[in-house]
Amino acid sequence: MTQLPGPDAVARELAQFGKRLGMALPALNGAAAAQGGCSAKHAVFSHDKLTLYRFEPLARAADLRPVLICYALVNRPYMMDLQEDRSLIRALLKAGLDVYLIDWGYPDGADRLLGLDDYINDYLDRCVQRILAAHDIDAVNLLGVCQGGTFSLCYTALQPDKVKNLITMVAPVDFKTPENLLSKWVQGIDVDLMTQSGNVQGALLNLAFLSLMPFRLTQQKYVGLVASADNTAELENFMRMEKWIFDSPDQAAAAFGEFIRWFYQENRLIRGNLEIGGRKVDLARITQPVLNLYALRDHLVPPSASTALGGCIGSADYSPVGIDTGHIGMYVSGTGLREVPSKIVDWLHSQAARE
Amino acid sequence: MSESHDPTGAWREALAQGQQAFLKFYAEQAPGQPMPQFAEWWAKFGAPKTSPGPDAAGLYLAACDHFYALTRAFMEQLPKQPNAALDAQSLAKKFQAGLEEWFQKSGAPGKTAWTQGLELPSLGVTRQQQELWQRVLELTKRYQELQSELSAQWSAVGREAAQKFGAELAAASKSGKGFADLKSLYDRWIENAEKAYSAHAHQEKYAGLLSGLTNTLNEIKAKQRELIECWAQQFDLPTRTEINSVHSRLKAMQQQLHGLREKSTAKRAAAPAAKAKAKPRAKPKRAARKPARKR
Repeated sequence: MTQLPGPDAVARELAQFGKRLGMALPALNGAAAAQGGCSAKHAVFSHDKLTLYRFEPLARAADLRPVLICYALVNRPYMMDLQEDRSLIRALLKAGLDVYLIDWGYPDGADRLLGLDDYINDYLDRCVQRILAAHDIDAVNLLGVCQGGTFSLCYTALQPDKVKNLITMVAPVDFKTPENLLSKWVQGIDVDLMTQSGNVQGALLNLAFLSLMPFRLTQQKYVGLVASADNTAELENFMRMEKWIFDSPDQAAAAFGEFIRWFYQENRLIRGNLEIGGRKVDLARITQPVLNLYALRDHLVPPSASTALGGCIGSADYSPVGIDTGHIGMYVSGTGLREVPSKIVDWLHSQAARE
Repeated sequence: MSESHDPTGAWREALAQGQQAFLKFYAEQAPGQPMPQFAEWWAKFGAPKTSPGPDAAGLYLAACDHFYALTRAFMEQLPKQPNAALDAQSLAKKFQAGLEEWFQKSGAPGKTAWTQGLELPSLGVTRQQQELWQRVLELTKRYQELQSELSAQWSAVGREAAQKFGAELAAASKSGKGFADLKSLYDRWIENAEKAYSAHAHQEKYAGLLSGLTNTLNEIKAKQRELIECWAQQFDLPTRTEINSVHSRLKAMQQQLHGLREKSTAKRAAAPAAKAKAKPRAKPKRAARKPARKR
C-alpha cells in the first residue's frame, strides 16, 4: 500500500492551510503597495514613448565603457532592478559600471505602425548615438535581454562599429528548435489578420505565456504562496513579481507582426535572409567579442534557441555561459544574481584589458 | 417521489405559476396598458409551443430531461448491495459515452438554426451588412466547434494526468515510499498534470487548434469592425480605417523629415571636412603659380 497521510493528518493540514490562507489574504493586501524598480536613475533622452535612463553610480567608476541595456518589448524593464536584493542592475552599479537602460514605454493606438525598423534602426540607434556623444566614445557595450537581445544582435550586425562588446541574455536566435513550444503555437497564426485589428494586447501575450505551464503558473504558485503567509518580505516579493508579470504593454501591431513572421515563422535571423529597413542583417558581421548568457531551465527561450548563436556570428571571441535557472530566474533568483552580474563584470574587464 | 421522474415537468409548472402571478401583478399595476417587450418575452418563455421553430425554454428543458435520464440510468447500474463489487472503470466509461451523446444531441438543434440563417442569400440595400453578419455567424459557429475540440483535448490531458499520477502512486507503493503530507501529493499531481499537458501541447494538432481559434477570433473581430464602420459612416463618424490612413501619412512624413535632417546633418559635417581637404590641395597650386608670377 502507498503510504498516504492519515485522515487526522489530512484534517490537521487542511485546517492549517485554511488558517494560513486566512492570514495570507489580508497580508497580501498589505503587500500590494510593493513596487518594482529600486535604484536611482534619471532620464537622459526621450523620443516618442521611449525614455533612455542613466542610473546613479553606487561605487567608484570602473574604467569601462558604459553599458546600454536593451530590454524586450513584451514586459517592463524594471525586472532588471526589481528590488534591492534582487537587482541585476544594482549589482552592476556596485561593480562601478555606468548603466543606461532603454524603456520602450507603453505603445498605444497611434504607435501601431511602428515596425522593427523604427525600434532598431531609429530608437535603439538614437540611444546609442546619445551615449556615444555624451561620453565622446566610438562604441558602447551593449547588453540585450530576451527579445532585446535579438534586437541587439540585429543592431550590432547593422552597426558593428558602434558596439564594442555585445552581451546577450536569454536571447532567442534560432526560433525553431524542437523544445520551443511558443514557436510551435505561432506557426499557424495569420499575422496579417491578427494585426489588422491594431496593437496586440499585452493580456493576450500573458495568456499565451501562462499557457506554457498552466498548472504551475495558474494554480501551484498561488497555493505555494500560502506557506509565506506570515512572512511580509516574501509576500512583498511575490506581489512585486506578480505586478511585473501582468504589467505587459500592448505590442505595436507592425513590429509584433514582423517579429512573429520574420523570426518565429520564417526563422530569418538564423537563415540569413532577414532585412530590416531594407538592409540585410548578416550575423557574420558581428566580429566583436560576444558573451551569450542563457538559462538552462528556460521554458520561454529554450537553451537551444540561444546557443545557436555560436555558429552564426563572425566573432572569434564568443563565450556561451549556461546558468542553472529559468528565464526569469536569470534576473531574480539566487543563482542568477550570484552568477550573472559577476560573469558580466569579469568579462567586460577582461575585454577592456585587451583594448 | 413523482418529481424525481419528471423534474423538468415540475420546473415547467413552477415557471407557469410564476408567469401567471407576474401577469396578474402587471395587470393590477398598469390596467389596460400594453406589455413592454421584455415582460412579453418573459410571459411567453416556457409556454406551450404554438408554432414550429426553435423554442429556447423547450430546448433547455429537453436537455435537462436528457441529462436527468442519463444520470438515472447511471445510478441504476450502481450495485444495490453496500458491499457489492464496483466496476468503476466500466461505469465511468458508460457515463462518459452518455455525456458525449448528450453533448452531440444538445448541439444539434442550434446547428440547424445556424445553417438555416447562413444559407439565406444577401439581397437589397443592406446586402453588404447582411453578408458581414452571415460571416460573423459562420465564424462564431466555427469558433464554437474549435472550442469543443480544444475542450476534448483538455479532457484528455486531465485523464492522462490522472493515469500518470495513479501510476506514480502505484510505483511509490511498490518501493515503500510514502507522501508526508497533502502538499507533496498536490505537487506531484501538478508535476504529472504538466507532463500530460506538455505531451499534448507540443503536438501539431494542439498547435493547429490554438492557431485556428486565434485566427477565427481575429476574423470575427475584423468583420465586426467592418460592421461598426458601416454604421459609423452613416453618421459621418471617423472610422479606424480613416485614422489608420492618417497615421500612415503622418509616418511617411516623419520618415521624410528624418531623412532630410540626416542629409542636412551629413552635409554640415561634410562641409568643414571638404574645406579642410580643399585647402591643402589649393596650396601647391598657389605655390606653383607664385613662381610663375615672379617670373
